[in-house]
Amino acid sequence: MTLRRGYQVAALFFVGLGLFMIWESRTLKYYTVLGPGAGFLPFWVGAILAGLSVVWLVQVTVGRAIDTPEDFIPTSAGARNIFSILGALVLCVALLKSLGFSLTMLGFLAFLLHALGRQGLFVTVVVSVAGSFGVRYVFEQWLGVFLPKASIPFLTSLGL
Amino acid sequence: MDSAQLLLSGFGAALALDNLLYAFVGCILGTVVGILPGLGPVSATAILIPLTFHLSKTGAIIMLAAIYYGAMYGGTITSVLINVPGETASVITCIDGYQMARKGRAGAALSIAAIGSFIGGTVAMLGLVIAAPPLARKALEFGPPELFGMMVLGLSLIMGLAGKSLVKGLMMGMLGLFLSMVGMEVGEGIPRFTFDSIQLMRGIDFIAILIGLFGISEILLNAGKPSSSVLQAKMTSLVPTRQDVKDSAWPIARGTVLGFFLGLIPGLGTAIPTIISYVTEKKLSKHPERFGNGAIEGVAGPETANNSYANAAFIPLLTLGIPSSPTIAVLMGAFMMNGVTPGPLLFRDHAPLVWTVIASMYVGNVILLVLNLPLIPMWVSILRIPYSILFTLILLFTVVGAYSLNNQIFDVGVMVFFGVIGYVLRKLDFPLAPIALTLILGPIMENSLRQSMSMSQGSFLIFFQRPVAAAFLALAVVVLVTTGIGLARSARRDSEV
Amino acid sequence: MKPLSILVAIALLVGSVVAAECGQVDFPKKGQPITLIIPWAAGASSDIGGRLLALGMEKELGVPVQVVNKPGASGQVGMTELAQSRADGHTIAYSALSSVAMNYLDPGRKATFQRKDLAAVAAHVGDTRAIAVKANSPYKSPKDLAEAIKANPGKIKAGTVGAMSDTHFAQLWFEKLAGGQFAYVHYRGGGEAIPALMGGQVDTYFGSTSELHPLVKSGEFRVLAVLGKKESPFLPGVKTAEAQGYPVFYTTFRDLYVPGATPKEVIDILARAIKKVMESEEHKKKVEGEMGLPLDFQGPDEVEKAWDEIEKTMKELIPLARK
Repeated sequence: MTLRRGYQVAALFFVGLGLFMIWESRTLKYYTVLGPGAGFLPFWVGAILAGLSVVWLVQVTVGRAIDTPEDFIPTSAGARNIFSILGALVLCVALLKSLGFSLTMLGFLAFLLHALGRQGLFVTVVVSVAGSFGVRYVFEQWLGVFLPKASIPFLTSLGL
Repeated sequence: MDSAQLLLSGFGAALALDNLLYAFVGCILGTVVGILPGLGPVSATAILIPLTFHLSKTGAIIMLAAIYYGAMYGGTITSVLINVPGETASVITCIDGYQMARKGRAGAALSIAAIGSFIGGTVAMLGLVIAAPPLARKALEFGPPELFGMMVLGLSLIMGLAGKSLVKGLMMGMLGLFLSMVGMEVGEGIPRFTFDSIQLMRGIDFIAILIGLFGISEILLNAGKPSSSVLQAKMTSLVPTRQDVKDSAWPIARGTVLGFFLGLIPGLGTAIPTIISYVTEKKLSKHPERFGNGAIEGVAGPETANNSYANAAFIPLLTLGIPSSPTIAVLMGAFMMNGVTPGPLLFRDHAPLVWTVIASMYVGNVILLVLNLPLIPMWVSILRIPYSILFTLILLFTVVGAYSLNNQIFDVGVMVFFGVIGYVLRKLDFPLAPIALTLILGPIMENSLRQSMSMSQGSFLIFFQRPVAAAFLALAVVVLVTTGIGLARSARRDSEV
Repeated sequence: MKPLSILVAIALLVGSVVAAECGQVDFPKKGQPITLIIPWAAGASSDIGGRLLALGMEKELGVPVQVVNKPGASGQVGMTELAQSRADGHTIAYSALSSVAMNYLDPGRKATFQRKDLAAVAAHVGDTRAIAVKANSPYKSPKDLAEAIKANPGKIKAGTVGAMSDTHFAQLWFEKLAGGQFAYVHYRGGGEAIPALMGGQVDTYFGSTSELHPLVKSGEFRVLAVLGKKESPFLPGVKTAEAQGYPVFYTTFRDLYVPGATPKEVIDILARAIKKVMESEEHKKKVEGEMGLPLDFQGPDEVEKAWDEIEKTMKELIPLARK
């Protein structure tokens, strides 16, 4: 996977986005009695984006050679890190509503600290508890911000 | 009654031990609150009501004002240290401030920001004392056509931010515009690009996008590198060098003036003065290519403009009773809950209170400086925490921050999504700054165009009939033409992609 | 089993049957907080009004009342969340009746809730709108304004706080009666619309009594008429629009809502608590005296009736706004 290939894929994506915008804008009013309507800007932004992307696609395809930087593709260890973090984040977002802030973040932090950060048990436990239950307490009591609560009845009755 | 006399007695009251304490506590609270994205107005309100029950009138107002301008600085800290913007205006500081941190110059960046903020804030307060009521009233003539002109000018200056490749910069600008259009269109209340989702109908929260694009992408990029090479740059300096101070002098001066005049216009928001200061500094600089790589001017100007604006924004509140931002609206609520109605009669009917508050704001600016400068080593030492722990803390911080914006888990999801997008874009060498700028300025431009058209019932002549608007538009044309010429020249010189 | 324990068991059984017969409802559940959703951003005077109510309710009901702001889409985000919450009385919302109705009646917004998914608990504040112009404006009565918009359609500028907002609807109603046409300039909130009127960017603004009266007192604005059935104590000397020949009635009611399936007993408990709070001197002092928001308690049935009225009005005005 070279940088040039990456550029080309991105260019195609943006062309697609631009065309999508033009397509969606057809249901909106382009121009009204009072000047540009809701569809005016989407149409033109889409058109400009698509146009520029095509120009750029041509530039990277037939233009000068493009050097792919050494660290363009992450190492397998690096890729594993990235996917772990992303996976943890996605899981966190998915579980916040049902498990509530305290439990979800406890697991999230513990995973990141122990599995990825290779921290010892002590640091993991202290930071995870402080970052989940501790943060929840501070925000609720001192700042008036109520972080997500669990929606599973059993957990709700525990006050989580 | 002589203004100077009133001010002096105001100082007397402001320096009373209890009021001093309230200002001090407010500054601390404000800095803390400002660090956490999305907290400002909410926490201020949540604190407000119990406060007014327990504190004196004056005390409550002083503390709330201190929280407000203290919060400005908090956002700077996270922008410089971890590339996470606390509010839309802070994203500007991310662009150059974070790059300075990566070069080990976080201390210098934070120091200049603190000093610039102090100068900007103090001069703005001076302006308030001298010129407030007549200027504030004149500023009311700044309406949608003028705002539209200013936005066009701002967006044209952004062209200069494209960096190496104009095409890529413009593409990012278009992307930012697209994202800003998702939601309810203001002119007719019609949903755009919402796919019938209520979450999309409220518009994608800009700060969530920016935290993802800047902060989360940074974490992902660092995760992909072998752990030995993650930059824990040696802190080469906690203090700005003499060169730094020299370079920052004019940006600070310009930022002060810019922020002050923009603060008179009700409702502009902190983002506009910050952005305009940045693009102006870049345009006026002899070395524009340094911007985006740790140019101190890119921190000095915007941070000063930010604080100057924040202090000047009190002028419409005090003289006309118009709050310029949600947090100032909370402050106005505090006044009202104490039986004081801000407005043209405020200076007449409640002079002692008002002058005490004004004096307290002077004092508060000093307190902020005294508080923040010595704390900079402490803040910078956060970067010394081993990255294997730090990254987890940053993620915790951003998750909480994103949620607290609107109490929506969806926003956390937005942040994660744009973290991935930011990662990909940065890998492909796309500049992120144009996205932030069109994201913020785009809707204001479209909105003010709609409003201007409503005012003129469809005639574009309105822009030429109003001198200030016409002036802005003419300047924008000049900028576009000169930028275009400059680009054509450099394009002929080397056909860079 | 010991005789004592049998006795206790029987007592408990009888007790619970009796309690059930008396319609005793376990609300609020001990120690479980009530969430009050406010569907707009923190800091506005309406938000503070809601928070003051929450403080009072906390004392009356004995459980924490936690205020959560869920802004977006003119209140639709918050109300959507309310409609989807559990109907046990532990989630309530504080919103403006006309906004709520507009959310589900406007087909373009594709709301996921209808009226049946919500139930009214009580009315808190009734903020009547009024016709405001600058103090040096040539218009001295609604008639002047009406004639102006008839003679110069599309030339007189009216500011609103957003398309399909209360200000917009009130102005549409007036426009319909007068047979004229405003030029609408939509701002985002009173914070932008009021400076616009002050600066002469627009010619009129149908704001709420609470936001206008300080500006009348300071001499900035003149109010031509109050859009209610009675005159307002905050605007002395200003006649109603009806009395001056233009029967436009527009009051922004801020009420409390619960999900539609909430049991009636729970609603009554909530309504009673709210009534007690609104009768307390402390609450009256802060809300009416200091914030200038006119308190006007109404129970669930009265609010439902007002709701019917608003629905009728909205159904007429929404198509006009969409034109």
